Amino acid sequence: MAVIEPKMVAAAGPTRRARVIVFGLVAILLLGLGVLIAMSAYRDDGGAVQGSGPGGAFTLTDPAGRTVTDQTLRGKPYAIFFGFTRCPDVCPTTLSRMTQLRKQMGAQGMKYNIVFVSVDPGHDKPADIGNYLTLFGTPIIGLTGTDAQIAQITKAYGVYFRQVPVEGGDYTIDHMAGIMLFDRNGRFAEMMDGTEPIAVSLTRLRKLISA
Amino acid sequence: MLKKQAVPALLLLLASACIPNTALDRGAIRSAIEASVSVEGAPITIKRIVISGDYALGIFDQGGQQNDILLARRGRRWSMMLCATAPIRDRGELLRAGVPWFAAEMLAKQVAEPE
Repeated sequence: MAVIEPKMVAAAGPTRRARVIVFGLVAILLLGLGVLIAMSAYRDDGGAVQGSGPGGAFTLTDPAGRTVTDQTLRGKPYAIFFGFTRCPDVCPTTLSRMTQLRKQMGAQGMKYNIVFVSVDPGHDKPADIGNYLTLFGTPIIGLTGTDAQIAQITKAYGVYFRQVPVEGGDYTIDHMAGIMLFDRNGRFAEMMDGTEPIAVSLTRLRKLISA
Repeated sequence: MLKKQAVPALLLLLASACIPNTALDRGAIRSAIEASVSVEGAPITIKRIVISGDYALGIFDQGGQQNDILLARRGRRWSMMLCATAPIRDRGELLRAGVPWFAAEMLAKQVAEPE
């Protein structure tokens, strides 16, 4: 049996304390790094967690009166945006931006669909949406539906909208401004911001079509 | 002596990385609001900004009309989630707009308090 001399204990004390401190600091550092890496992975997805994002089954109608479902859109990635044809600012700005992005992508720009869903079924009939979308000069799939169908898709996609009365008995609609990107299998990829730098959006779209 | 100072200094450095810089955030949020809604001929006046984590609520005036704007931090940028002509300042509306419970609670509380 080994006998520990008091001198040895005294000598080992500070060394052990130093080791504990170093170990503690390294642990804190590693923990911090882990949190930073996790946060950056989370944020690269535009704030969305893969696999638990928006999306789901829907049935709507296109300007030609054809039924379009989530299954119809499968096979090609898509960028989807919710708005209404009488929107004075966010919708035309966002759709113009999406047109501009597609043009800048050249031939690659046709490798994804742009989808516009009206959250104003009371006003926007299929033909109205068709006429509105021709203003942007690029193929955009316009969709609308009954109140129940719009309620279903906006719930599935987590889209906020609210009718707000204005003077004269009319109304406007407050609605979400983000563009959602979905891959060719209908899985949510990430959010795209209509005001972010063009280069950032182009990178997102290139990543989407190559996935 | 140097060793004694190095340890707290390192701990302070690590801790400082966790403290949000609201002054920087406010500047970035202000820029994001202007980029999102200010247009030529219709300038805006930002009346108030409240922040909770990765969410911010702004109140601005444009042409005599007061609007609310909801923003979220995505990566290093703040981006507009929603621009509303009617107030979205209560917890229920914020939750419906997709703001997580805690941030919705904090934003609603801050905006209800006088500046």
